[in-house]
Amino acid sequence: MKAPDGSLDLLNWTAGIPGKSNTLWDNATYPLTIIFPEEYPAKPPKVKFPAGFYHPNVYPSGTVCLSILNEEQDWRPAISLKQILLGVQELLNTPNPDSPAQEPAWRLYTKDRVAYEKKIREQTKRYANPDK
Amino acid sequence: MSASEFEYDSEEEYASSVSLDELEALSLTDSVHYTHKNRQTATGLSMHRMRYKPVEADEIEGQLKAHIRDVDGILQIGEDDCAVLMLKYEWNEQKLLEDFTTKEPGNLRRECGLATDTKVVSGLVETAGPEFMCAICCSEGPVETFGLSWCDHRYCVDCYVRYVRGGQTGLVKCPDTGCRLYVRPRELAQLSAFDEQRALQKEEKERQEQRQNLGGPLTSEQIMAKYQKIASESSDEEDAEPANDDESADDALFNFHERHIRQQRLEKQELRNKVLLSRYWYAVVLQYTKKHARTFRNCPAVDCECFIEYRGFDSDVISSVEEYVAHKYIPIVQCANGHRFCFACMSEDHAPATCAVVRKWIQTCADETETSHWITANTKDCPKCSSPIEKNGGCNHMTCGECHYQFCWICLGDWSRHKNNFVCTSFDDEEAKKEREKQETSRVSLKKYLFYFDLFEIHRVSLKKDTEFLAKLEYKVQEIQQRAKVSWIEAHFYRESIDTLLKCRITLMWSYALMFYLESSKEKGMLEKTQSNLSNHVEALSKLFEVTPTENVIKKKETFLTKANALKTSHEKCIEIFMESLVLNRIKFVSDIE
Repeated sequence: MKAPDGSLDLLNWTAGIPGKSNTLWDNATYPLTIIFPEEYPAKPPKVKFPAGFYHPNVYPSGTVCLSILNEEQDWRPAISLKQILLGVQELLNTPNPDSPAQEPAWRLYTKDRVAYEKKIREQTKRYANPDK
Repeated sequence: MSASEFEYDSEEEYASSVSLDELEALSLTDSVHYTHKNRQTATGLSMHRMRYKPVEADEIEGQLKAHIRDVDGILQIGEDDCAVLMLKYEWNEQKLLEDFTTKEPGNLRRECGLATDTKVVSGLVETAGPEFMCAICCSEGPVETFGLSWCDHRYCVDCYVRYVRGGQTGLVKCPDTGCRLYVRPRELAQLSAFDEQRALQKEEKERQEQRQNLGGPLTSEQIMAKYQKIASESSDEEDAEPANDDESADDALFNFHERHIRQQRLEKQELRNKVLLSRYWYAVVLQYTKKHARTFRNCPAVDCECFIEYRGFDSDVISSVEEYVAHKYIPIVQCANGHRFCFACMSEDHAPATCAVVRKWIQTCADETETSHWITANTKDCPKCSSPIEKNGGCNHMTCGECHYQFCWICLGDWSRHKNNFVCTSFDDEEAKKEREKQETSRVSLKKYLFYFDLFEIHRVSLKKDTEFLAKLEYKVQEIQQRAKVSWIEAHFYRESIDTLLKCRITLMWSYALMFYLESSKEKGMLEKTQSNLSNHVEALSKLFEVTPTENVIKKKETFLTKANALKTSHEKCIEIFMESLVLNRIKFVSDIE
């Protein structure tokens, strides 16, 4: 990401995660910001989708709730960026109902799977890849 | 001390397993303290006392290591593995022993992040060749690396040290994503020793360079580095030097004692942070004391790192702190740095007021702000809606601005009875009388509150002033002592007298808060006498400090000692008398404080 003065800010990254093929999330790229703390890699980076992203393990602010991104849980300094991104991609289609981060998505996911899938499809359309 | 002695699950068990005589003997060798000096009061009544021991982090660390050793005596798997298991089981020895015998050993070890082999390999720090790349910082070999005994995950020493430093507990896993192994104490010791050695070498090298540089002319970079070093050093000094700009010289003197303690603490902290291993053990101690908060309490004084270890009671009647407090006892303890606090509510020394009284008093003081004092003293409440009204002139025909009720300012009765007659004639009216009485009671209770609040405040302010004044004096006396070449022990009486005085002021202060909640009775009159006796002794010593010229302090030692001892005796007696009245329920509280 560019800093206001036009130089590169190496602590703030933008990325896109493609949805896994043959899943609900297929054919779309989900935008992501990765914010590295000064102490990285002693402390994990913060990974964020746009605010309001619809997923049971994404906070209303967009922050991803994932054990490998939590300093108190499974964060290790040897975790590579690739592993993080693969972890987030995996999380998209296999949410963890035991650690909900937002209510609407979590409720539908656990109570009404059909309605949940419909919501996801709507979101996928919003981030759909441009046709080649 | 053996582990079984300090690791007891319930206080009752501990108290009943050892006889009182044994405990008396133990207290001599093991420096166990009591919340009250005497078991029997002057009137021959037997009081229950809480036992405690002021401990410091290093002592707890020693105890924990001994505990691990003892458990390993049973498990026979090596102290390092045992340490990890104990941390994993949060020091629940019984649960660990149970699982150890019932679970399949391989599974248990895997679950707890241990390798199948218990050995700690030596030489874990090794230099890797040019083909090595650290997976954390991507720096390439040849470089010093570190890895655990039983996994292949090696990282450069810098990254490993930084990673371990970031850990908040004693349980630190290998930095590799998939690896479940924990860093064990003796493995960490190798990393720590290497890190320390390297730091020493670096210092030595810098010193050598400096020596060499003295010979030849300095390059501009060296001059710059030197300048920056001096600049940062002098700014450090400014922080430590009492003569700071935003601090008056008086404050600086006052802070002299606190500074001394802080200095010691910082040095200790620095040493701890420097050596990775001692930092690790400190984290273990903190985790342990938090887990055993019923037994270990951290001193609440700012920045104090002392602990108080709870040691049960010298009676079979009381078995927990909660019960003790419910009997209106006040468990005041003193940490190794001399801070006195209540073991139950963790606030500063508040004897003879009980924890419940303190809570209520603080709440009352917060509610009854200056504004509300003024309001009650200068206004009358509307008899209908109770909004406070200040009369700022005009006749006695009042109309409430809130509810528009019309009443007479003099008798607070309905204005309709005063029609066409602006002189209040219905002063004896029943209804009006009731109104006045109601307001009168609230005024009396306020007056009572203000009376005790003033006394409390007077002592609180005196306490603050005394603390400042005496700390300054002490500083001066120390100077004199150094000049006159008197040994510090000769001047020690001064510090002691100061401590006694301050301690008694605190007691006096809280005794007024307590008085506010007590019903008038003969017993209360007796307590008041005790109180004023203590007050007289306090003033006498306080006066002595004031009038004695600093130069004469050491010569007047005898007078100081006499007065301070008289105060001390009076204080002990006062605490005892209050305790008796409270514990034996000889005195009634005005409203139910609980």
